Amino acid sequence: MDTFKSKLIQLTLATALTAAAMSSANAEEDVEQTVIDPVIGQPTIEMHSKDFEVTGFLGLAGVDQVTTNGMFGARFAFHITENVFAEASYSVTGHASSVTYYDAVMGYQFPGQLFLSQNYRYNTATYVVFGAGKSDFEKRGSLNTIVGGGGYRVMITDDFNVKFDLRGHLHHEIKANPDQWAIDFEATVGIGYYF
Amino acid sequence: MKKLSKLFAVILAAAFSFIPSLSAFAEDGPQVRVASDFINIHLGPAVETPVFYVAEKDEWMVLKNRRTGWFKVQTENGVEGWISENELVFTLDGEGNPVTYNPSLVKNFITNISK
Repeated sequence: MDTFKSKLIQLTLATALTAAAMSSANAEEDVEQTVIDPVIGQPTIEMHSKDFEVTGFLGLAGVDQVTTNGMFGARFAFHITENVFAEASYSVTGHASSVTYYDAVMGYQFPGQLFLSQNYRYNTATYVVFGAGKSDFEKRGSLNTIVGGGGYRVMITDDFNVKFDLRGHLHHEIKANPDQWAIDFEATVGIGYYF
Repeated sequence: MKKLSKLFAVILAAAFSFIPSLSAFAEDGPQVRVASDFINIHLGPAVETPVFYVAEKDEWMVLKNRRTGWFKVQTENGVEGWISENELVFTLDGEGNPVTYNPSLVKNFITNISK
């Protein structure tokens, strides 16, 4: 009798336990199904934003308002907003006594469209830049310089663009009269890449 | 000569097999579904550019590129354009969760500095 009783108790206990286990498992499943995982601080989309731009360019530079020669250089831009960018550039002219420009400018761009034909449309930007830098005249020392200008950028693809720039470097005259101002101009064509 | 033509054929075959895989790759990217009534699609990555298409509710889009403040999208019927990253909040991902995105380096930097 005792053994039967104990067996009965064991059986009921076992069934109760399994039932409890199953119901808890069910409850867990229900919880998993109903509670939406709140993704806080963990973005569902990880995508790199191409805010940097590197440009190589070639063009013409006029120095001392007399001699014009070829030039080349590179720019590195950082797009702060869709309109505002900061840009540093380095360029060297091909003059016998070459001039090296180090510029840092801020730019503002006005977006636009270029309709090349019925079938081709490109995003563009017309921009103005203003900043300061140094003009390093070979063997003659360097001068503080004000830089200003503008340009036009055509987005050939979403990452590559072709750009046309006109800039002036305003500094004190290097030779005759140091109190006089001189403007060196540059006209360049470049290829830019966003990354 | 025969060897050369064979080689040429192999190269051609390889090139052609590569083309579809390239275009398939272009379709890749996170997919999102419009959850608000509509999302404006602009011609370029700037608010001044015209809106030329309006993606309707439940329309799927593939995110293909990203520039300061903007995502390039391709809608399910092939329209390509740019949406503001602020509009991406009004989309859902494949599992139906609201879409959130990592801040750009610039924004991250600014918010960290202002903290």
